Formats: sequence, C-alpha cells, structure tokens
Amino acid sequence: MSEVKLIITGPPGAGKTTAIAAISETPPVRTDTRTTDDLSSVKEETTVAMDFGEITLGDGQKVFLYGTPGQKRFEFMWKILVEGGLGLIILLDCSRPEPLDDLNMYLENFSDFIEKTGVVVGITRTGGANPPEMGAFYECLESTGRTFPMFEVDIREREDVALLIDALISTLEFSH
Amino acid sequence: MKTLSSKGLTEKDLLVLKSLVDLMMSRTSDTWEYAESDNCDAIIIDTDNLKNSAAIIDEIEAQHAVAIEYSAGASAGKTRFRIKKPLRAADLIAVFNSVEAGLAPKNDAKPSAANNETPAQAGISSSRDSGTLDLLNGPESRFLRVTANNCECIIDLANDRYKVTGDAALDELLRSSEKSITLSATSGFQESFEPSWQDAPSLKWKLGIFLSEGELIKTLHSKSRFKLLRWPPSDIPRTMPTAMALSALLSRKSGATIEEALSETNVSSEEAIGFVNGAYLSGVLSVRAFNLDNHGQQPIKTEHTKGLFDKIRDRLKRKPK
Ligand SMILES: Nc1nc2c(ncn2[C@@H]2O[C@H](COP(=O)(O)OP(=O)(O)O)[C@@H](O)[C@H]2O)c(=O)[nH]1
Ligand SMILES: [Mg+2]
Repeated sequence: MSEVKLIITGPPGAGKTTAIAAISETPPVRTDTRTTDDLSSVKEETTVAMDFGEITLGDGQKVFLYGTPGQKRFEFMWKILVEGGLGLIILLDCSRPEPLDDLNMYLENFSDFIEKTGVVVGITRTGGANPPEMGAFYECLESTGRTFPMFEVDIREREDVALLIDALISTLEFSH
Repeated sequence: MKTLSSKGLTEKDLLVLKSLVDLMMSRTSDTWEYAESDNCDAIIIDTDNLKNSAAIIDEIEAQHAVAIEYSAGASAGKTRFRIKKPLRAADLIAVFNSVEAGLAPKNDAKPSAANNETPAQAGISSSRDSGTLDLLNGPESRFLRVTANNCECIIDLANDRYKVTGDAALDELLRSSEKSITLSATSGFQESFEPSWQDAPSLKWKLGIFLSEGELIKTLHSKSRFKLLRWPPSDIPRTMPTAMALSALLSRKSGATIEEALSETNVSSEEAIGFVNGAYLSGVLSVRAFNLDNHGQQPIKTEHTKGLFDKIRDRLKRKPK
C-alpha cells in the first residue's frame, strides 16, 4: 500500500505538535536540531522541531501526519516534506500580530501543492483582542478560485483536529 | 419598479447608460431606474476596468442581486448576464427583460403549514403562497417565535441570536415535529421571565437546514449553479455530517447544481435543499449559470482514493482507546 501522509504547517506555537498529539496513536516524535552547539555559550540557539504522528485505518493502512518546522527559513524543507502528500492543514494563531500575513505566506509557499491537492485552515486562539474577521481569512483564498474550508478550532481537542481532517478529505474527494 | 446601478464604468459609459435607461422605459416589462445604491436589483460591472471583478460579482450575487458583465472581449464566463461593448439600447433591453424573467417568482412552490397567520402580522403581501423561509427572506429585520414542547424561543434574525424559555436546545426546537412558527414584530415573551440572548453565528444555516421541508426558497431556481463563498461554522457539520460533502462540492471553482450534488454524493435531496437555503440565508451563496464548456471540473475520485477517504472518515469517528 502506498504511503499516505497529511502535512500540517503554521507559525511556531500555532499548535502543530498539539494537533498531532491530539489525534495520533503514537506520541508525536520531535526531531530537535540545534543550529549551534549547546555548549558554545553566546551564539543563538534555534530548535527545529519536525513532528511526526500516525493513525491506523481499519484495514491496517497507516496515515502519517507530518508537522513542518514553522519558521520561514525552513522553506526548503517544506518542499521536500509535501512530496507525495495527500493534502495540507494550515494552522493560524490569532494571538500573533498578523495572522492574515501568516496565512498569505503559507498559501504562497505551498501554492503548487495546494493547487494539486487541497488545504484546510484551522484558526486558533481567536479569544484575544481584535482577531481578524472570518471574511478576511477567506479573502486570502480568492486567487485560488476555490473555497477551501476554514474553521475556528481549539487544537487541543481531538474532535476539532478530526473536523479539520474530515473537511480536508471532503475537499479532496468532492471539490478538486 | 426595478433599480440598476453600476461599478467600474467610464464617465462616458455611465452617461450613456443613464440616458438609455430613461429612454427605454416603455420597452421593458417593468420600469427601470438608475440609482447610486448598493441595494439594487441589478448591477452592471465593467469587468475590463476592475481588477477584482470576479470577487465583486460573487459579492453582488451573495446579496441576491443580479450581476451583469459589461466587457469588450469574450466573457469571463462568470455571470449569467452579459453585455458586449459598446452600450446599445437593444442589448440593454434584452438583458433587462431576461433579468426580469429571472427575478420573477416561481409559482410552483407549495405553501407550508406553519405560517397561516404570519403574512398579515409581518406586513408581507399574501398574494403568493410562501414557505416559512420565504418569509424570512425579506429586507426588514424581524423576530421569529418558535414554540414546541412547552418551550418558547425568540429568534432575532438581524443579530443571529436567540433566547429560549426552558432548557431545550435550539436545534431540538427547530427539529421538533410539534413546533409552531410565527413571525413577530416584537422580541418580548408572553411570560414575564426574560432569559438572556444567546449568540448563534450559524443561526441562518440552521433555519435553512431544519425548516426547508424540501422546498428551495422561491428566489432560487432548482437548475442554477450554486457556489459556496464560505464554509459553514463547525457546528453545522457536527449536526449534519453530510454538510462536509455538500460544502466541498459547492466550493468548486464553477460551483455545482443540486442535481450534481445528488448524483455525486450520498446526500438526500432534502439535505441538499436545506443546505443551499441555509447558505443563501447566511449570505454565502453565489448563484450563477455557466457555459457548458466552463464546468469540466471533476473530482479526482478513483476507486483507490474513494476507499481511502471513507476509511479515514471511519477512523476519525472512532474514539481513541
Ligand atoms: N490557552 C490556550 N492555549 C492554546 C490554545 N490552542 C493551543 N494552545 C496551546 O498553544 C501551544 C501550541 O504549541 P505547539 O503545539 O508546540 O505549537 P507548534 O509550534 O505549532 O508545534 C500548546 O501549548 C497548546 O496547549 C488555546 O485555544 N488556548
Ligand atoms: Mg511543534
């Protein structure tokens, strides 16, 4: 059976690890890489975390979940990760300063993949002061010509992660 | 009387348009008047002059007005009505007459039992039979009173909120076969106890889904292509799992017809109609007609992926151990 994988992206802290933990049968595997040696004191340290989880379907087939490193400088890795992927989940954190810019950035960087497959957008932490209106998020999608699903979610809840995946596969099945 | 406005026209075209509208009066079945307003029956859009004309057309159609494309080149294929440049009286008359035909109410819809007393109360003309949802589809903000199982619920249509006596949930009341529904001019309960308002962003979706009784709202046509401009809030697919397939299907670039929805998904016609009505009442449905060569968009459904999607859905339903 061919490998089936779903890609989850979004800025650091948007909840990629949390989402995978909520739905995966195995705890998310984090691959932490230090750009500098821990012990070399003054230099900046960056943790690159790529998350990985899996769910097993009724007949034993596995669906793998890959969380991409969030920062834009890992763009080169995104292209490799999406290779052969079924579809994309973008998580946005409304407590960050410019969630719409975040969305545009991911839509642009994953545009080839989205064109070929589909995307669902999960909007998190909308409880703060002035989160953008839902309509503003939809406007970012206009250039694709398709209306992709967007939901406000609490990414800590398994049901909400399942909702995003369900909307994504419905899009792949009925809306391509 | 019907009103017309425009977007993106040059000054010269606008002058021509206004004078043609004045001159043409006698040659269209209804009287047309030019108005600088956003609430017109029809809006002419110069798609050559406007960069985001596709989005403008979507917005106009979502507000239940008719978009008329005005352009020099070939049609972008988005709108049902189109006039080729330059503006000529004959073209305008032809379009106006077909717009009027398109706006004319259908006469085949059956009345719904629930609204016997409502037309007079709400000041709506009772000259044609209407379902509950047709009554909601008017311009004035109104309240809806739903009673069932000893509970009374007031729905504030303009503000997407409701209040209810007793502890029945809104879905439960709307679903109840015992319910009675009336339009009301006031928001007061008959009892002295006043519960507080509860916000319900998906209220109009629910009215469509639970109150349609298999009938499309009269201003919609069963053969039209419908395109969804936004997915419903998450509580809609939670109460109605087929909303996922319907949302996806109606989100295609070219939208879909109800007939396509029925043939490509396992959705019943009541569900599809309720969903389309809900989207329309919520202002997120665009109605369009496409040339046949313009909707060759089929899903990538091979037997392999179809089986896979169903298996993933099954797995998502299963609770973790
Ligand atoms: N208070 C609160 N915390 C949240 C909410 N959604 C996510 N979080 C937290 O935000 C953090 C997200 O971090 P993580 O999953 O590591 O993000 P990643 O960098 O995208 O992998 C976790 O600690 C979540 O528990 C929310 O709605 N409210
Ligand atoms: Mg992480």
